[in-house]
Amino acid sequence: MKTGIRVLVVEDEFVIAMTLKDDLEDAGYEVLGIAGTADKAVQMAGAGSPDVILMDIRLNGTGDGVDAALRIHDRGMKPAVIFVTGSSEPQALARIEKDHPAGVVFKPAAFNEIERAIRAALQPGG
Amino acid sequence: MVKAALWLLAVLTICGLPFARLPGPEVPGVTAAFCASLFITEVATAFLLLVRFRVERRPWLVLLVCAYFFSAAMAVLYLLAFPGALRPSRTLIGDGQAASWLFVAWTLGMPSAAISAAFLEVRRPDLVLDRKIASRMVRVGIGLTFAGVALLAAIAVRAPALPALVAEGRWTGLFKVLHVASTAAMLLGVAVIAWGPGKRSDLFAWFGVTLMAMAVANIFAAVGGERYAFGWTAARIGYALGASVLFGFFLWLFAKQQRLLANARERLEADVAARTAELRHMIGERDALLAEVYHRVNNNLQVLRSMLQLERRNLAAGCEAAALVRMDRRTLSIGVVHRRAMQTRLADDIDVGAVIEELGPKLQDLLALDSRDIRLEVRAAATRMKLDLAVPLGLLIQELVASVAERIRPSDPDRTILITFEEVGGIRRIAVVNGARTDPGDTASLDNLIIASLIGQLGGSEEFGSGNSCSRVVNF
Repeated sequence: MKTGIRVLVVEDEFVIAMTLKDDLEDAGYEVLGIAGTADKAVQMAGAGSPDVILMDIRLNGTGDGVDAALRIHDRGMKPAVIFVTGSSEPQALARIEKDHPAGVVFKPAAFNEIERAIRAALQPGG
Repeated sequence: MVKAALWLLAVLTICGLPFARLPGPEVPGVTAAFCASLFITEVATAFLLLVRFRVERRPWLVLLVCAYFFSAAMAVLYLLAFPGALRPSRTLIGDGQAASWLFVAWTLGMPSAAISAAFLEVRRPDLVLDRKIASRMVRVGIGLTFAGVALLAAIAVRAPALPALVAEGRWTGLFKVLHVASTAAMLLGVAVIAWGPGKRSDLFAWFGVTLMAMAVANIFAAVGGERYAFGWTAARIGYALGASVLFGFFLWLFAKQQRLLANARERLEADVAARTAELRHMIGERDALLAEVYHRVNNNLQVLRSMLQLERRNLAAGCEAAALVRMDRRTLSIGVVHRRAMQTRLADDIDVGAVIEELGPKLQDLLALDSRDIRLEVRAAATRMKLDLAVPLGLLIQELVASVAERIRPSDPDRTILITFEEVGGIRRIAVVNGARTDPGDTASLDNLIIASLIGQLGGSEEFGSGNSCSRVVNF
């Protein structure tokens, strides 16, 4: 059943990104695409206007997921950014907080966890 | 410095002697002031020498300690016996001769002790006394010194029986002979010290300056003659200055040591600051490396889970897919423990209660994939454990939950699994409980073998639930 929610996956690990895309599509989400770099994420967010971005912190190329999220929000776009990261040390969390994220999910994570975060982020006031 | 001091004394002698016979100002309190200053500096110097002796334990130092205590005591006796020093024109002990005899004994005693000390040093320059012998020696030495002073005091009181040293306000021939003898002894002491001990010890060298100052004072006293003559007053000032030479030397040493101490402290603080910065840098590097390793571990576990999921999607057989789901759950358990380890930054201080609290909902999510509608409740006490135990514990909980979940039949009304973890009396207890009626299950299955090996790794044992309930309890 289609949810009508458009999701952008920002993840430089291809296998993780592909599985996530399959799970999202199985759950009825529209996946706009997969971005492996911060620049690509900003470009695809600008082009596709996603409702939700699942954002990894460490990405290929220059800039990380937090940089990409800040740039996207600076351009006036308001997607809910959910960070999906393998880092939970204080410095990484402090950096994530800069963007006032809609959610944080730590790897390794089950898809249900990610989906719960998406639903929570899209709730009114979420 | 020592040579300069000796030269200064020589110059003062040459320049001052021509004026020694001139009458000086009449200052009645000069003897009291002279004796008081001398007493204070001699006692202070004696104690400082005593401290030095306790550190170095060289026998010649005992003689110097005794010499200074002797001089301090003689200053007091001299003050009591000197006519007009404390009472107008009268003495407190003895008569007019007593002060002269005490003065002679004093000026002969000091150089005698100095010469003895110098010869002792020349004979055994490297001798260091045993601690006990040193202690006994200094006690005996000081005791004999004060006994000698007491004897001199007794003799001084009986001075009328002794030959006169002063007659009609002038020194007698005996006094002059004894005065020359004491001056000669002082100069001999200076010569002996300059010949040997003064070259090896700064303290001895400065003691030589003390003797030289006393000898010069003796010469001024002899040339000055009359009371309040310039030479007479200069002699008293000379004795007092001479007595303060070693005290000044110790003050200089103290200032030098303070300077060295301040420099050493500055160096030490700089070293500590540099080392602290270095350690902070190393800790920062270690933290960065650790964060990178944990990040890689968690990312790779996610990659592994993704690959298991891809494989599962392509499998037709249900049993094979179920095996991959079990592998997925195990991977997830390891990931949760590692994430907690990264947060605490200490591999031997992981809160396994928090691990179990986090693991519960994740396992519930995975169990939901089977559409069996099983709910997990967790009651876990905060307990600290090492990483090498936390990982098998996380895996064990996952296996126990899966084992209990598999026994719950679709018709069972109770679909809640309760996980409790507590530590009582040093024994940790993990219980995974469901109230449904159940079959005992296949104890030889692969899952049970894995459970048994994990329990073995934790050094524990399992107790099976009783009655109708399905439970698995492990103590370790």
